[in-house]
Amino acid sequence: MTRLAPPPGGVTPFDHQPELWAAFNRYYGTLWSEGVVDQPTKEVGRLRNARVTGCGICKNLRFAGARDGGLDEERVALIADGYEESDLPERWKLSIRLADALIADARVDPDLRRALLQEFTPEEIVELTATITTAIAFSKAAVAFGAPPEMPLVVVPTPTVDGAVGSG
Amino acid sequence: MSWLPGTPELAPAAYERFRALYDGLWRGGMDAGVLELCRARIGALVRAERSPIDWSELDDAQRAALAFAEQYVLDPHGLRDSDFAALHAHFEPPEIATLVLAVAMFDARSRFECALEVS
Repeated sequence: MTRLAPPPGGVTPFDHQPELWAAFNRYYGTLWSEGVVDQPTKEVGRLRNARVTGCGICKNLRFAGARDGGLDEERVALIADGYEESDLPERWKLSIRLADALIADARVDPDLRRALLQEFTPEEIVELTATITTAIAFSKAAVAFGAPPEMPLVVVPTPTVDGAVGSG
Repeated sequence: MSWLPGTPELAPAAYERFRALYDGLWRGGMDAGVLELCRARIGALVRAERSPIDWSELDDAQRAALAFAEQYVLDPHGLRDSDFAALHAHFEPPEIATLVLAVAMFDARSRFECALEVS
């Protein structure tokens, strides 16, 4: 069965509530396209969640701005167990650590706090945390609606204030 | 007190748009009491606190929504067609769309506040 079918002419189940859906996209687009954190760092956190949460759509989605910023597939492959020993930039490793903490119990331990404050400004930490927590929560919607376990890798435009995102 | 003073106003544009979204959830056609139950339960789940909900006082619609919210937050892979069938038995599709988006935003907000120790 379709768990929640889009309305006639709609693309996503959220099209049942076009105003709310637009409000979500304005918020998510603001985080991605009008923020202070570079897009690859945010994309690393989003993709870490996609792998852990197991969202078949999210983990094969790439935001173009992050790819343009240097997050190629070779580096994406390093967002896995053992990333600590990889040559990923330190701020990307911290984005993974933050994502793991947010997914697990939403606690940032003192060591991670210190590391974040050494690498990022307070404004950047707030934005990075908001982006990853939103990606965590939204990716679950794709899973809940019955996302396929796998799909082809696809590069999509980075979410903007006026555009809709395919998934978290 | 947050370990990051000034949160969340440190991201003013995003915060303003989050507030617009969040406030809109309560005008999205779903019963406000159901949303408030889900918000309270998700907050407790994320903070690993005792549940504030007495299930014996809930009606079938509230139970269906709350069961969905719990499973969504803890493990969305555990959601079954029967969970959505239970929602469809009590709510129209636009209400369910609001519920799903609300549960997602309650999850996100609770994790954000817990991580940055924002009340």
